[in-house]
Amino acid sequence: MLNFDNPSTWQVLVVDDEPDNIEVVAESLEFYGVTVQTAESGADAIQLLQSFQPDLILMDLSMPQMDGWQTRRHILNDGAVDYPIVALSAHAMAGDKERALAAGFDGYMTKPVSIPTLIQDIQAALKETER
Amino acid sequence: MFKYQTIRLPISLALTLAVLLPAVVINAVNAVIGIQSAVNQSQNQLETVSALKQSQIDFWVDETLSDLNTTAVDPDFLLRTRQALPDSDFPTLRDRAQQEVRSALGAARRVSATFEDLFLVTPTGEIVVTTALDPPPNFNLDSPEGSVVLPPIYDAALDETIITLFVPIIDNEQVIALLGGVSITDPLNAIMSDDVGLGTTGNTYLVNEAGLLLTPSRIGDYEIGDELSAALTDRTLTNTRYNTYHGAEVIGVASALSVPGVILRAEQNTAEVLQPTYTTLFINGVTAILAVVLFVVGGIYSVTSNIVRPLEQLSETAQRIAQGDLSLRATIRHNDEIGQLAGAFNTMTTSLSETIAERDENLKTIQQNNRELRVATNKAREAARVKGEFLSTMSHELRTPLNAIIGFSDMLLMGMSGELNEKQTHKVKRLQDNGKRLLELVNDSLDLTRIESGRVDLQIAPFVVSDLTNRMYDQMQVLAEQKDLLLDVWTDPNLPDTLIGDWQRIEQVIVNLLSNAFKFTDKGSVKLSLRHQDADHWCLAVEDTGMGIPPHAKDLIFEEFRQLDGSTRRVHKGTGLGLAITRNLVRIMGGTIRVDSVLNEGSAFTVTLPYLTEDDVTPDEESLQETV
Repeated sequence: MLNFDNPSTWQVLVVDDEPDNIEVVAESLEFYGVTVQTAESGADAIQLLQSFQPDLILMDLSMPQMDGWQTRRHILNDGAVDYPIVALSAHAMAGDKERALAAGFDGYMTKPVSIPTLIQDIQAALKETER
Repeated sequence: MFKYQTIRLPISLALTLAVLLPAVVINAVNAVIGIQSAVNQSQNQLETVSALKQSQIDFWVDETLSDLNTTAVDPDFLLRTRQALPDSDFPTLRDRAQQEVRSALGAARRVSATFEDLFLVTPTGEIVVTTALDPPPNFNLDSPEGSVVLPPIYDAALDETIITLFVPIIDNEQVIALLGGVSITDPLNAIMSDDVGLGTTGNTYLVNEAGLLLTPSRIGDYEIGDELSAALTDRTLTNTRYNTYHGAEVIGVASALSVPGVILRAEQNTAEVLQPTYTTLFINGVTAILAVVLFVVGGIYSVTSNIVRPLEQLSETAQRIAQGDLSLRATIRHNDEIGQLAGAFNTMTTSLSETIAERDENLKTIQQNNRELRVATNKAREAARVKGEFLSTMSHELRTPLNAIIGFSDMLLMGMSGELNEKQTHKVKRLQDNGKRLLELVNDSLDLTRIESGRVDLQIAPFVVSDLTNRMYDQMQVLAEQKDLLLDVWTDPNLPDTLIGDWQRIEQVIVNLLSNAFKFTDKGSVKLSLRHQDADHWCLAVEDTGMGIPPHAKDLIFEEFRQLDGSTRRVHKGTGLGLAITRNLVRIMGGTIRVDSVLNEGSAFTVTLPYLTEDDVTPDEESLQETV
């Protein structure tokens, strides 16, 4: 389970097809003490989850072959674990966030991310959907 | 609704009356005049007949008297008479003389068969000698000097009318006696029975003062001596119509005779007199009725063929035209009023069909236009969709590299890749700032495009004014402190505590205006005020003590990517889209924005917004979902 207030205990899977973005997010999280694994496609992510059980998944939405939406469905259908999945997307038009949340994502963050407030932003995104 | 009635009826009635009335009047006048004239003619006729019979009777009386006189003037008879009188100078001769007088009278009576009896009387009427077997009673005479005619009487024994006449017997210029004769009136009967000029019912008769019939009646079962109506003896009963003795109404005249005590009456039945008149009147009447009938029938025919039928046809045509057959035209038969009406009707129909054709043409054009408009609308919608898709993609594609740029800048500045020296820090900071500015530009561009394409859905709801102002103060106070400026927020006490509107958009407007004010103000203060304006409007104003705006630029500042000039753009960071977005937001909220400014003293932006009501509040969450 995610220890919400203590990021150094977090185990996070970052899924994004852009290596630059993976580098920015993964390194920053590691900077804050988070344990990070990365995947450059939905298929890789599903593969990785065989051996790695994260507390949280940060998921890009627009990816070739299998996008964030499909990947999420696969993960939740295949696995026994109900991972919290936060969308991390460059889609910032009106309605994008609402669509994702309506589909069941546990949070929505827009790119570009702000590194100084990265942890707070993740916490805020999760808090927004807390039921 | 009135019941349908043909105009034939009133016109026929009027025609009938117009013809019938004079016909009746003329016939009535004719009848009165005709009857009067017939009566007058009949009276004249009767008077003529009466006058003729009068003179015949007079002639007979004169003749009879003359017969008597022949005897009376005989010298021998005179001698015998003198001796036969009671006061005779020769009483011894009297009886003989009387015998001789009697035989002389008898002889005279035989000569003239007229006399029933002849006799000699004294001047006072005492019988001296008579031829009758039974001497008649004495007469009551008053010594007349001439001849005397007594009123005729009915002699029941003879069943005849008799008349007694006397002539004087004169000796030495002295009436010594009278010779009297009783005459039967056969000649009178003959005269009165003559019916020449009297038609079939004309009748002349004599009636005495006792009302007895003296001559035979031509009419009915009456005989001489019958008692008739006493009124018939009235001489004034003449020249008039009355009911006579035999019951019929007659026209009669009465006239006196030289014979005393007798009235001659000439009568003719009114029915006979008026028969020809009645016939004439009847013929006239029948003729008039025939004329009226002919006239009315002709009139109705004329009205029907000239007025009613054409009107009916016109009406029928009008109805068929009303049912849609606009090619129909009324037939014009004559160039009269109805013909002109039909002509006018045709002109109207032509005009109508032209108008309808024109309207149909217009309708077609409108439909065509509508089709084109639909196509254009669909095209525009498609274009808008493509544009939206493009914007969405562009936004995504710009943000992805920006994420790397800003992210790496952040990481470098945070020292994740080792400490940077001052120059490196400065340059990475510039890199970060430009990245952020680029992001801001992307955001503002999208925002503006969204607003301009009308894809902004206002979320109208009640909000608390003080919440808004407090939030604004907290948010903008940071900017004020950065530039050492004073931020003043003031709310009009007359403004309601709660307003209705899209508070997020209002906040966006305020933030834009305040950011703008802080951007162009270097010293002094920035003031935000919310005021009640009038019954329908409230306004928010942002005033600063900045550089101001020259008059020529007041409109330009609301255009995209405009700042005052190239030089200021470098000093004042920003995309240049803030005021354009603000203006468009104010517009879609139904408000107006105005700027007042004095160069180098400051500017004031005033946004006026309408008070909204509960009716304007955006309905519910679900309908919102659909508009997303």
